[in-house]
Amino acid sequence: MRTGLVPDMIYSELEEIVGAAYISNSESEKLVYSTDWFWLPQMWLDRGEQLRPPDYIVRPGTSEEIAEILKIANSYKIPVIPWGGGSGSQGGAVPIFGGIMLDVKRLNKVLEIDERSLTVTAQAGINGTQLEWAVNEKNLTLPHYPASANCATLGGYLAPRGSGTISTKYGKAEDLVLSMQVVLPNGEIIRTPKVPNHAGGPDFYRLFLGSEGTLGVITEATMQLDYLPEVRLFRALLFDDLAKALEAGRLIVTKRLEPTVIRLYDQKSTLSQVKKVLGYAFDGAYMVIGFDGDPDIAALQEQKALSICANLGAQDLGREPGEAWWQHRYDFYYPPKGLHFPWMYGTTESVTTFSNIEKLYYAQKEAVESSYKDWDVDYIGHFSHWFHWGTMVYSRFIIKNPPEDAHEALKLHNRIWNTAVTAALENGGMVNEHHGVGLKLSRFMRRQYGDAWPMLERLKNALDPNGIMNPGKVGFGGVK
Amino acid sequence: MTYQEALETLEKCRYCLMCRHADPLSHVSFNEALTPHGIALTIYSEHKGLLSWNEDSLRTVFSETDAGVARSHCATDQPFSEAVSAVKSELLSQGKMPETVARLKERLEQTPSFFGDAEFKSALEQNDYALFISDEMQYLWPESVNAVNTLIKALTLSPAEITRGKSSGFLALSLGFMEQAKKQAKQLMTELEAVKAKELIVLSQTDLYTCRHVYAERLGLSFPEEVKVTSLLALLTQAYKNGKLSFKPSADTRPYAYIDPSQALRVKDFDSPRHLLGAILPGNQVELFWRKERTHPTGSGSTWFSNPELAEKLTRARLEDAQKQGAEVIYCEDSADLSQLNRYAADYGLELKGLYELLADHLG
Repeated sequence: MRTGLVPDMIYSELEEIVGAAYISNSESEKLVYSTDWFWLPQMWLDRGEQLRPPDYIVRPGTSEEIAEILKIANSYKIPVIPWGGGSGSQGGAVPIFGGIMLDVKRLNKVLEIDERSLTVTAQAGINGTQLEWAVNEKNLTLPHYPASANCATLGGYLAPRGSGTISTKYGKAEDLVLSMQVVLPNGEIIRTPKVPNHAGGPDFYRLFLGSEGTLGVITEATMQLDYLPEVRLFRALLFDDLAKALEAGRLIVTKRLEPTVIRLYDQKSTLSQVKKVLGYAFDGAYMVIGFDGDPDIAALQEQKALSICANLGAQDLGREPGEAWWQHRYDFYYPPKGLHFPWMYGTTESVTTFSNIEKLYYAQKEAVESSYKDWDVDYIGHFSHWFHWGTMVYSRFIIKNPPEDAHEALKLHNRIWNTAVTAALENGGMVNEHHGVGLKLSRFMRRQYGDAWPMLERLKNALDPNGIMNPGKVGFGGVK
Repeated sequence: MTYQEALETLEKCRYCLMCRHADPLSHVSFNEALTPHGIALTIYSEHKGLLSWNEDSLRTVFSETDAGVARSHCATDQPFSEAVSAVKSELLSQGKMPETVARLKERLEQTPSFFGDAEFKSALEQNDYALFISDEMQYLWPESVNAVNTLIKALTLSPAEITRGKSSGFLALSLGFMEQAKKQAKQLMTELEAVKAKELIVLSQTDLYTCRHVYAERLGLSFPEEVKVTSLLALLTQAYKNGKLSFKPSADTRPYAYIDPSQALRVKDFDSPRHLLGAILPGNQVELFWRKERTHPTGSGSTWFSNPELAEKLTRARLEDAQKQGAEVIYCEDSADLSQLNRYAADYGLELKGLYELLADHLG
């Protein structure tokens, strides 16, 4: 436990704000908060190495308390790291410079469900599944079903611009938000306009979407809801050619058939992940398509989509393997079914237009497989979030026998990411589609944005002149 | 489960966050360290030499509720509570425990039950049915004892009482006192064998889970396979459905809620108590948000002994939930849960009633 005049002063001031029950600097708690779901810090602990922990863990109960905490952080120029569920896979919540770990889970109330407008207003620390249960009681749903729903918070949906399983029909988290309350780095509390679609000036509220706690702390959000669908139809298909499967997906989306889901696994994923979790030994590109809502409309949409797939030579596997995927869609992330230690892995996902997606996928695959063949690297991928103009590839690398030494493992991990992200950027892709930037992709931001990056830096400097907010993330520097 | 086997489970849980939505401790503490992931990472980090045991870290581990919530929500069925219980046992064997548990150890060495030490002599005469009235019912909610006897008579049964006023061993096991748990379990099984019963009637979901699973799976004892373990609630429900038992409706029209007991997720008989309540109090039942598959423990059991402040938060969370849903009366059949809820129910304007008493009072 770090003590001394200044640390004790800070502790005492923070304690006055949140109360003794909601502040801690115990060694064991600090260790738990020293890593999120990012492979690198987890590996560091796995190899018996110490991580830089936060200095203080505080659990504020109101936006006003958060505002006061940020004022203290500014006066002492110490980092503040907002923490929701800690489920980010890019190190966005890792306290690399120590400081105040701001756990917002006490902000967990559903404030209003408007059954006429189909909106919910909730505090940002509420758990995703708990929020979903709450709206389900009114026969409604927040149509954002990320694999992390069981652990992520509402703020964690928005801060890294997450996507859920059914984003193809309902949009990403950022498309579902109407307004937000945000505590700015200087302690001001602002609320963005009530509705997002207007012409009353620039959409500045979107600045906080993707900011990952570097520009403020999201404390409340109003989200769009939908009625729970009357039916959900799923069907599985098998393609012997990935290109034809991608074309089927493109046609289904661009013809506005409104699929809830198009999940297309490449051949290697089908043979490994799908077999391991669902038990099917299919050889080819396994695709699940889903439609929901009104039974008649969903059935018609499905029929037309199946026709497109049949014309491209797909084998219709029927409902059962599609429904099994939906039932077990999160099982892919439970140990021991998911990726696990001592393996090295990373999800180098990207998104681009239909014109570029095949080129990007094969370029990234070739770059990773050829550069790291000595490590017997596996490159697998699936295509899961589709837009009218393109799709994303959820690509992953896996090395089953990585270096035992943590420092060597880190170097290799970074090198593979360099290779994969470079391939994505050079082929029209972005550094990611929905996993956020965090620590891992921070160094690629300048490259992705080019001439536009300095403008974002100036905005950051204006909002957070001391650089206290989540330093070292999203391409921004440390505390000044 | 051995310590090594426990570590193998916790190795999987240490970086898995997938049961967080249902986790009771972090829901009331908002503390990452008290999630299954946090507890597993704490234990595993000590194993890796990154932490040493101290009052804080020991308290984290001993706070685990042993209610099976994490496992119930785990797609790969990881026995998290069972693993933590095995770690507690290992720590106790090394003399490492938080102060709250150290005080219990001394008490357990003086008296076999946490709740009382009266002696109830069992006749131990041969009988097809045996009845286990635990120390929890005997000492924590004794008003249920007469009600249970009335209900059993209404079922035209006259079972042999065994180990009345003793513990099944589950609470000791949850706290890590493995040998004490085995001793208590063996006493129950010895008396069960003495009466040569074919069916053991138990009065709580904790006892049902203990006899059906804990003895064999967690204590390595062989519970007699030929003995069927049945809950009294299940027998009553069956008799009511078959028309062999009837209940008079109550004139009480106040909204009420049923509180699923702390071990409900290990038994998953959510319907029997609700069915019986509906027979007496039709139409005015409200459901808690944290109910059935997503129910939380009430704060009774091991957490009450190892971390009373946290247990109080669990209890208050259930009471707040009932209040928020509009209940004025709450029912439960589990004596330990009733006793725990009773500590704070008045703070929420809630009237607490034992389910067995309600059923006995309204027999048709």
